[in-house]
Parts: sequence; C-alpha cells; structure tokens
Amino acid sequence: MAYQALYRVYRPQTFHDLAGQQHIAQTLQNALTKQQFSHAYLFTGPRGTGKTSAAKIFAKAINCEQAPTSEPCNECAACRGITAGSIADVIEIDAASNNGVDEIRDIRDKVKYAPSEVRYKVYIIDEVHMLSTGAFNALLKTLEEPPEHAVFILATTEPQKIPLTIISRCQQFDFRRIPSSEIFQRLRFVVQDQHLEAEDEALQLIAKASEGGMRDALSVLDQTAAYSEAAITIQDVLDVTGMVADQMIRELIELLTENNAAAAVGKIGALLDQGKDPLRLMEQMIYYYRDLLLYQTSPQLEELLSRPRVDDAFRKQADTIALGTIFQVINQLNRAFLDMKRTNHPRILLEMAIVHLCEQSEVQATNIEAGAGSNELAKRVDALERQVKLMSSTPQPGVTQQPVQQETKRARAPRRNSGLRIPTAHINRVLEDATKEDLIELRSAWAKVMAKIRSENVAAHAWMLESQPVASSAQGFVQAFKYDFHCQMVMENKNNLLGLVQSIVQDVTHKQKVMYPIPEDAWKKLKKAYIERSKSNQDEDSDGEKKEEDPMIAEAKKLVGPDLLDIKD
Amino acid sequence: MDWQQLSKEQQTVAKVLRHAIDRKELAHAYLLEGPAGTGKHETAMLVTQTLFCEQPTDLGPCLTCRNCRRIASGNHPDVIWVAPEEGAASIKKEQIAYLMKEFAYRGVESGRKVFIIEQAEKMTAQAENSLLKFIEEPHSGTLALLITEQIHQLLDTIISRCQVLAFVPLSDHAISRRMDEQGLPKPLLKPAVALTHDYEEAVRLCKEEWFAEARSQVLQLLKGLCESLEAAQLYIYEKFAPNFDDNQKMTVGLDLMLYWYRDLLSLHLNRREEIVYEDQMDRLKEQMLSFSSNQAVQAMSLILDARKQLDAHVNGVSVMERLVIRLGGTR
Ligand SMILES: Nc1ncnc2c1ncn2[C@@H]1O[C@H](COP(=O)(O)OP(=O)(O)O)[C@@H](O)[C@H]1O
Ligand SMILES: [Mg+2]
Ligand SMILES: [Zn+2]
Ligand SMILES: [Zn+2]
Repeated sequence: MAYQALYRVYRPQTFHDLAGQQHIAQTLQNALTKQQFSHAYLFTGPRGTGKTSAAKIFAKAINCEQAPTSEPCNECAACRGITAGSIADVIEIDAASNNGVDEIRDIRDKVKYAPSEVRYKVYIIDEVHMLSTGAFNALLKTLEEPPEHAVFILATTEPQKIPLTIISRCQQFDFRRIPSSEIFQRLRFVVQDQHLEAEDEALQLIAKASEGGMRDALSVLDQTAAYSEAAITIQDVLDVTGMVADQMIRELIELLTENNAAAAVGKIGALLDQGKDPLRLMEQMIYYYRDLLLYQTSPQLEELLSRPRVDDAFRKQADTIALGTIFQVINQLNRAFLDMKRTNHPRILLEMAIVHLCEQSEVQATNIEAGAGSNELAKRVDALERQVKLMSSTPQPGVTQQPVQQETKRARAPRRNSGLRIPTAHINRVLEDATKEDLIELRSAWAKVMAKIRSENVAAHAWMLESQPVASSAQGFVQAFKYDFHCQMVMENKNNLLGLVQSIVQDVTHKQKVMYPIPEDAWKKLKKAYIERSKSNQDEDSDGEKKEEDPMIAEAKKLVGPDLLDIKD
Repeated sequence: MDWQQLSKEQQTVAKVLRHAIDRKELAHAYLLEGPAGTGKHETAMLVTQTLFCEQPTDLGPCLTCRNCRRIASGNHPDVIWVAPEEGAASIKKEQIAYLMKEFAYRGVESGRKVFIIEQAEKMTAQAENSLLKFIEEPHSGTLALLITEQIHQLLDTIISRCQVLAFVPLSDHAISRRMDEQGLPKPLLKPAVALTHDYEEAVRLCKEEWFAEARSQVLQLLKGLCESLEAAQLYIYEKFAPNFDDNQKMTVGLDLMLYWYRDLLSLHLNRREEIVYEDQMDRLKEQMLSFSSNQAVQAMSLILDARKQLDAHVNGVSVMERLVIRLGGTR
C-alpha cells in the first residue's frame, strides 16, 4: 500500500471529527434528526476547512441505514459504499473539469429517476465557482424544482463567483478558518495516532502558520515529519517553512523602534543571504506588528495572535510602541509587500521600506512633540484600525467559543466604546418579547440576508460580517458585534445602513423588524443583568426558592451555547 | 545532479525528499518553488530517475540504464512533462485534461506514474482549477511534481494540496565570488549579478558587449543629471535612446540606474560590501554628501514607477525622459 498523505488519511468521517465548524455541524445535525433538511446547500469558505468532507458526511448521514441519525454510522453498506465512492446515487462532480452546459443538463435529465441503492440521490458539485454561465443557468432550472429524492451540495472557496440566483436557492454555510487551538489539538491527535514524537511548540507553530487551513497544517506536519531525524522540533518547522525565528523578528523590530536603519537593513541582509525569502520575512514582520496591535487593543484575544504564545519580551515591546505608530507601520509595510510581489528586486523594496520607516518616524516624532493635532491623529488611528481588522486574515475563533473565559477576561480590557450610546430601554423591550422561534428563524435566514447585503453594498457587508442576531422578538432584534468600531459604523447609520439591513431582513423573512446593534461585550453584560432581574422577579413570585440557575437551562446552554437560548423560557 | 550535490545546495529539500524516498513515504504531490537557477528541474529529474532506475545507488540513479535514459530524453511512458506549448504563454486546460486521461490508467511498466508541470504558474485559471480534485486524490502510485518560480501566482487551493519545497537562491555574494573565480571583469560582474540574481544569466550578460556599453552610458547619464537637467535630456536623445532601442533594453537601463541609487543608500547605511559600482567609489562618496538616504529612497521609487510604466508598454524613451525630469527634481 502506497504512502498516503496525512491530510488524506485523516479526512473527517463524522461531524464530531470536523474541527472548528461546530455551528455548521450542529445546524446540519438538527436538520438530520428532524428529517427537515433542505434540498440545496452551498458550502463556502477558505481552503482546507472541511467543505468537501462535510458534504460527504452529510451524504452518508441521510443515506445511512440508521437514519434518521445525526451522524453516519460509517459501518453500514450505504456509508461504506459512499466513503469508497462506489454508490452510483451519490455523485461527486468536479465542476472545474466538467463545467459545461452539457454536463449539468445531464444531471437535470437524470435527477428525476429515483435512486437505486440508497434513499437519496446526492449531487456534490465541488469547486462550483468554475461552472460556465450556461451551466449555472442549467443548474438553476434543476434547483428550482428538485425532486423529493435529490439533495444538492455545492462547495466552493470563491462564493463571490456564484450567481445570486443560485445562492438564493441554497441554504448557505460559511466555513470558518479553523482556530489554531483546534488545529493544534487535531495535530496532536494525528501525531499520537501515527506514533510520531513532536514538541508541543512545534505543533503550535504549524497550527498558527497554516492560517486556519487544516489541510495546510497536515501538509506541513507531513513534510516536517519527513524532514526531522527523530522528534519534530520547532527548528524543524522553521527550516521546512522557511520562517525566521521569532527572536530575530523581535530584534529587527527593536532596531526599527530605535530608528536604526543601518543595523536593521544589515540584519535583513544577513537573513536574506542565508537564503530566507524576502516576502516571507516581510510577511512575518507584518504579522508581528499586527500581533502588537491586537495585543494592545484587546489583550484578552490571545487566540487571534499569530504567535503561539505571549512572553515577557513581547509584552514589553507592546507596552513601548505607540498604537499610532503600529498602524502606520502596518499600512506601509503592507503596501511595500504588495509591490514586492510584483518585482524581481524584492530585497531592494524591503530595504527601501525599512529606511523609509526609520526616517519618517523621526520626522513624525518631532511633529507630535510639537503638539500637532492629536485629535486628527486619533481619527486616523480609528480609520486605520478598521482597515487593519478588515485585512487581518488569521483564524477567527467561533463566536460562541469560550464565552466564560472571555467574559471574565474582558472585565480588565480597556473600555473603548464609551462613545457608543446603547439604546438599553429598546433592547430590554425586545428581550421582554423575545422568543426562541423568532431568533432561530432569523438566524437560519441570516446567511441569505448577508448574501443580499453583500450584493447591495459591499462596505455594509464588511461592517456586518462579524456580527450576529442574538435575540429577536416579532418587532425587533438585537445584533451583537464582535468589534466595537464595526458596531459604531452601523450605529452611526451613514448611508442608511440600518435601513438597508432592515429592508433586506424584511425581504428574506417577510417580517418587519427593527435592528438594535450592540457590541458583544456590552450585550453580555446587558443580558446578564436582564436574566438576573427576571430571576429575582421570579424568586419573589415563588417566594425565594433557590437562586441558582435552573439545571435544565444550564444543560441546554452547554448544548446550544448561550446565544441560541431564548432568555425568557 | 546527484543527492550529494543536492544536499550541498538545497539542504532542506534534499533531506525531505531523501528521507521520504528511503522511508517509502513519498507524498503524492510536491510543489518545487524558488527562483531561477536553483535546480528545481534537475531535482525533479533526480527524484524521477531515482524512482525508476534499475540500479540506483546511495548517490543517485545510474543514468545509464534504459529507464534513466528514457526519462532523460523524455520518452518514458510513465513520466509526463507538461509545460506551456511552444510559443504559447500559458498551460491550457486541454493539456491538463490530456494529462488526467493519461493518468486514468496505472503506470504501464511499473505501476508508478509521475507527472511534472513546469512553469506551473502559467496554467490558466481553468487549467489550475481542473487540477484541484485530481491532485487531491490521485490514483495510488501517482506522483505530481509542480515547478514554479512564482508561487504567489498559484491558487491557494493548489498550494494547500502539495508539500511545498522551497528552493533557496545562492546569495548575490556567492554568485559574484563564483564569477570572480572565473576571471570575469570586475566592474561588470557585480551589476550583472545584481540585475539577474542568477549565475548563468549574469555570466551571459557579462559577456555581452552591449551590457558593458549600457553600463557606461547609464553612468554617463547619471553624471549629466548631477550637472544639469538639460545636459541629461540632451544625452538621452543623442546617445541613450539609440542604444536602448527596445523596452527590454530599457528595463536593463532602469535596473542599472536603480542600483546606482541603492549604492548611495548602502553608503549611507555604511554597508560597503553591498556596493555594486565599486570602481565608482569616489563619485559615489562625493554625491552622497549632497544626497540624503531619504532622497536615495525617493529616487529608487521613481525608477520603480518608471519600470511599471515600461511593463505597461509605455514607450521606453518617453518613460526615461519623464523619469529624468523627476529625478532632476529630487536633487
Ligand atoms: N474541519 C476540519 N476538521 C478536520 N480536518 C479537516 C477539516 N477541514 C479540512 N480538514 C483536513 O483537510 C483535508 C481536506 O479537507 P476538505 O474537506 O477537502 O477541505 P475543503 O473542501 O474545505 O478545501 C481533509 O482530508 C482533512 O484532513
Ligand atoms: Mg474541497
Ligand atoms: Zn451508516
Ligand atoms: Zn538507472
């Protein structure tokens, strides 16, 4: 038996094994157990996050001999046949090689015949963004009236290339980049299962370096295992990935802070002469600054950092470099980085960027001392901050993750949203009338709402991207934002953003509701206060029975996460 | 190229591949990535021959058996090379479709099949996408070797499916030393290396009469620019333009200018070992006095902008004309 790449050996075969996509797994599993799944799904998201795997798991689960079940058994004839690719009713189509009208018409002709071996015909159309326009039109016809016995699962890394007419026929699931902590767990599992030895730090570095893609992470692990003589060390990972040790970058940035261009360029020269790639080096510098930025603004979000851990030296650096400087540096390095990609002299561009930074920060330092409008600076910092968040592309942890931990840590975070006026009274009204059904309905329509927002207004989509409905009544809903300044943008209601979202929500759900934006941490506090209040009311009613949280509710919270829970029940 | 030489030049790559072959744990897809002249093609050949050779040794394939010879001449039925077709700018979807058809069957002779895609970044979007599913789960016994100098131009989704082998370039210093040992003329050798970052290309440039001429004309132009803008402009029309009569030559001219200002910058940063125009040290030192490091960086940006215009097919002479006026302004 030939050697199989680790990422092929460890393809998840159950929803349980699908790392980092709990929200999707859960929704699909609910549909499975209730036998209420839709006939067309669209799985979108970055490479190596589990789209194709999830499609196959779902195909097995609906056809499993144990169905209705929330997981495929992987043992019955149907499951095994589908895994092996031998069941003719489960058809995987590579849209990139079969992207013509004829191929899709062929589906249309055959889909009407009932399945022969299993219950449902499943068409997995992978890399669906490659279909030709004609093929999309043909597909649309099929999606408009799919037979009862057919399920379509489309998967792609490039949702922006899918016509909206197709998107609106599908239930869309957006696969997230997998949080590095989960990649790390999976790597550790694989290492044990393969009887390999590896330093935890080495695995953490791989997990961080693969930017949320599990396939990439397993590829690097594979390669590092081949490279290493015995146990996999952090140095092995650095060698294989061509990355520079963190220590080096830190020293480099130290020199930049001192405006020591000569030494900084010298250091870079030495690294490049050793064969390090200038682009990779630049990228690492940008990520280092980005870490400094994130650490300064939200020290509780360590998971978002690109570094495996925060040490004293890093903390000290974060304390000494001014926020405004960091923004500016990131912006400039980022621009230089883009130019570097397009030239055959990347090294020179790197040097230029370094010299430029050192010279200019000297000028700027004197400006600021001279009292140049700090208000102006603050505004620019704000603008840049938004930009940085938008461009940052490292793993974002799932919203419902580690709520408890974050909450306690958040308490220490600096308050940055003091300028936001939260309409507490309105929100409390929504909470009083909120029902679980209203929230679930809205949340399940949310992917469609977002797709529509994007098609109408890309900027609005960007502001709304990291937010979600957390409570809903018949008249209004509360929308929690991960980042305060996104929330602020929406609240300021420039270009009637609120109106846009509300009217799209109405289009999609046929219900007219007012949206109340709120930053996530404020939401958590408000919710807690509300629960406490209503509990103490109850307590009064029931004459002071036990004050502890109902164990049923506690259990339910564990199962569904606090956000999906209707507070009133 | 044998394994010993590969470990000397590309230690990491050699170790990964050698271990994988020895432990029989070769992955199904590798992406060989790095600048020109770093031995990617030779490595692909080495791996393939090692796999098929009838009498391989520790050092590598024998190179004389039937398999080794057929692979070297491109005639082995189980080894397929793909590259842009002659005169074509890209690798087309049809070429990949053909490849996939060939690979639908097991290896004819050994049960093993290897395909090698050179200049993989030249695949059209269609071609690249059509490779995705195939490269993720090919038949067992299949080995894919993709070669590219421009990994950033490949799809993430392709990269994610391969083990990436990064080939590191020789440093400019190392190349220069090697050329120096060959006795190539000193004033030409450093600029040639700086422009190409590649041994063979640099040697070729050094031996070209035109290049020596170009170098001295650029120096002349820069000198004129120090004196007066008019002098420089006149020089462009009379001497420069006729000698740099196509955009490719003009590109070389711009690069030569770029390194002049970088020399000034290196002087400012006290990095003498980086100086490319060593024989012009006196002039550089003099100009440095009136030209700050910031101005040097500015001048370099202007030159790089001009380069972009050239790449966008703006007429070479007018690009140079405008550049010189702007450079005049940075003084
Ligand atoms: N969420 C995940 N959990 C565990 N492994 C994953 C996950 N996503 C991807 N992988 C790994 O990457 C490989 C490719 O996953 P796949 O589902 O094909 O990704 P996609 O289709 O999103 O590019 C899998 O075989 C598995 O090894
Ligand atoms: Mg996929
Ligand atoms: Zn089953
Ligand atoms: Zn041989």
